[in-house]
Amino acid sequence: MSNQLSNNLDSSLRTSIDRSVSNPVMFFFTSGAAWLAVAVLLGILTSVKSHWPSFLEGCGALNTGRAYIAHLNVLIYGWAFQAAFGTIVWLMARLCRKPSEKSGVILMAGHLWNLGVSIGIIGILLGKGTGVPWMEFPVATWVIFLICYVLIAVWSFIQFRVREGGHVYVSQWYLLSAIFLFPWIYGTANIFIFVFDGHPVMTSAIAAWYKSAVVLLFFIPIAIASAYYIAPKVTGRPVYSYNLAIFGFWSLMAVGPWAGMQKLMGAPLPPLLGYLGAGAAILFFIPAITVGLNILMTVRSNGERAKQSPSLRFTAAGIIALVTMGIFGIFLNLPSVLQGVQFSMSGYGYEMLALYGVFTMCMFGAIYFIVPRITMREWLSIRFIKMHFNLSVYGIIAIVIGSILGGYLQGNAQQAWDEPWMNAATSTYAWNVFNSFAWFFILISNLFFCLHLLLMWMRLGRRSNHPTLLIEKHGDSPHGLEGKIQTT
Amino acid sequence: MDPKRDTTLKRFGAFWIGLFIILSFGLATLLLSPFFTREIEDPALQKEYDARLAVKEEIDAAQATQLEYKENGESAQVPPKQAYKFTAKQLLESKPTKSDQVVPGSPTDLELNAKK
Amino acid sequence: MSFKNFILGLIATFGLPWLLLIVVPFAKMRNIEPVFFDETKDGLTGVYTPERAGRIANGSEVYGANGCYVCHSQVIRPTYAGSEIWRDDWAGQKKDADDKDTRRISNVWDYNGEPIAHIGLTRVGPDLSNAGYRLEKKAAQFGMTAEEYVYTRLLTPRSFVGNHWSTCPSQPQLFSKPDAYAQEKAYIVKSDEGEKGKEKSYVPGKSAKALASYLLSLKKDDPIPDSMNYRRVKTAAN
Repeated sequence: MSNQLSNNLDSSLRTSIDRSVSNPVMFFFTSGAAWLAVAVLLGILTSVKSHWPSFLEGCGALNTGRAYIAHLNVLIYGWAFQAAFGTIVWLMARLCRKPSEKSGVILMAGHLWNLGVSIGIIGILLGKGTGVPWMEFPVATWVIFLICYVLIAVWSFIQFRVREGGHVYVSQWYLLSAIFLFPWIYGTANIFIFVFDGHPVMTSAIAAWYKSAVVLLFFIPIAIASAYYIAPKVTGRPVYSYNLAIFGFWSLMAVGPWAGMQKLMGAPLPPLLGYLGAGAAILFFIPAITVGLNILMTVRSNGERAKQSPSLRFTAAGIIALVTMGIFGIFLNLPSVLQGVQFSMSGYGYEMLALYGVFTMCMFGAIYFIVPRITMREWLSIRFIKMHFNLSVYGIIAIVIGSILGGYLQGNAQQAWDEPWMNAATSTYAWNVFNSFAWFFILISNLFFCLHLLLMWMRLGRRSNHPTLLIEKHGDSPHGLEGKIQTT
Repeated sequence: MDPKRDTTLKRFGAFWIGLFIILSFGLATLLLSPFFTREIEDPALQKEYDARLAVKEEIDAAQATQLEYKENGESAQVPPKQAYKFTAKQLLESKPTKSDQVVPGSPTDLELNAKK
Repeated sequence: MSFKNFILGLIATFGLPWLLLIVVPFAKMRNIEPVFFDETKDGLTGVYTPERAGRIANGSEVYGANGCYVCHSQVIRPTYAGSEIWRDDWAGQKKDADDKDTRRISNVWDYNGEPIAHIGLTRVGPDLSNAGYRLEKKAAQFGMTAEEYVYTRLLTPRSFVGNHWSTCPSQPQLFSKPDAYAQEKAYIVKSDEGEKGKEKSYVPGKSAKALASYLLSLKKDDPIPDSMNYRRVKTAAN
């Protein structure tokens, strides 16, 4: 009886938490999804221009260089950060069992972040980019972004400090580390590159370090935090191994900040920096495989759920991508291979594996879990979810394999110094076409996703006790027994 | 449930602790900034700089002699920075004189045209 | 672990690489010891300071804003890290006017004047460290001035013989239509359809001029002091 009572109290606490964060979190997810669509469109444009350069040739603002830069920056600052913010705000609130009292501030900061991204993208397309990879937004925007970030993330830290005593979840370690590491990384990069007057090669090295650090120490931890929540929650089983969890976390923190400068191997920089970067990028396989093992063994303990639950399916796919990223990281950063792939499309493939394969897939998992809870509705269409999942998986596998394999072959052709350059340049033609098709499939998958999310945002989801599960048999209606619609 | 953990004071403190941790590396960078912003003194390069500066000064001095105040006949060459002052002074000192110009539409003009 | 230990751990695991990879190298690279020529070995005296003639700072900005670094690199790596030094005209001139091989790897002073070294992300197109020489050679081959060749290449990259495979994007935003009363030289550029294509006139804008000046200034094969030379050829002197 008291169990029933505490369950009800618990349930009403959860509902009140969900309600308190619903505005900003839904905003981040829908706004992020819109930016994702824009990023994928720009990705198609960039990819098409790489094998059909006269496509839209007359529009100088969309030349290949600017399109590529815009594609990456929208993907990162438009989609990835906003998905991360939505996840941080909801997940920390739920894990600390504290409603958010600052939803208004977070929402306002989110809108300001959107403004910053819009200004940034327009700036890039108008030719005002800074020329620093992944930091091409006009310089003034970085202060806006930092302020917005603090106004979004600091409340999650406060929730952690005033949480009820007891267990600290693994997800909370990852969320906290991401919350603190990002401003350290972002501030360092921006101050050393744009404020201090340094050697041009060192500036380039710090930009390369920023690129790697923001992925390994912000996006990957948030993806892992989401996975460590969803996997045990949906399977109903505990995390496979606590010791592996501790080891996975600290090995990522130890290895992550050293990587990045291997992009400048051979440049007039102390070679030690490049070798440390390559070494760390190789050693990333340790946390990747540790976390992968932990999560996937947890999923395996109740494998049926992975087939049924959209969130668990996407999360499992994301974690498989994490293991893949660890393995590819070894291969791509071996000095003998690095020579060839350093300036090939493999780098792009690896970045897409991290940003889309791992992070975005885990974020989709989080979104499919969180949105029903904050909108009090269930997803409408199993087919939409399946289309989204299948096309995303096919698309990202195609892009990653195409870019990394194509890049490896391109690198070999580049290294053949006695062959004319035309051979190396044209060796990627087929892979570029392949990539364009892959991005197109990802666009279709995201159209399904955006439409579905839009319907949920408009509160047109199903009202039901039963979550939308990817059940094969049409006879088992997700609406419950005999199509009875339940209102909650 | 431990309600004592969540007090306004604790939240206030957590905000500032959080802000401090977030800005910690920024502060550290600020403290270390003298190492990144000092002017670098190098005696070997300084000699080359001095030589170049000496040449520059020589040229500046030679060019300056060309820009001095000179009179040539009715007009004068004035150093560029003083041109406006000089002209303004001249205008103030001069008296308005009668001009030969006829303003179209004035009585003088109409008279002249009537005569034609 | 307690929160205090957690934060200390985070600060330690981040702070150490922060110091060793960012802070210390940044401070040290701000003040690199100059290398002197040795009169007996190099035949030159003074400090080694390569100078490039052209609008390096402005051009570098335009280069960055248009994403040229996405497809072009600007670094010649030592042989343990890459093989491009042996390509015919990337690292310098295989045979200059005096029949000497001036090719060399990039050094720390090669990027002076630019706020960021455009090391580059990929090599879709060739490395541009010594693009100045190649552009001048091509311009002479087609009977144009170097600037004219660069402007035409920027507008219609594939219009020259032997360049049909290039995926370099056209940059019309750097150019404008000439005014009827303009006194500036307008460049006649054919669209890519060759003889059948329409002829159009374009006037290079400020950015185009800066970029062209920058690209033509890319010559990084000047003689370096023997003490920094990794391609020393054994002579009687050494």
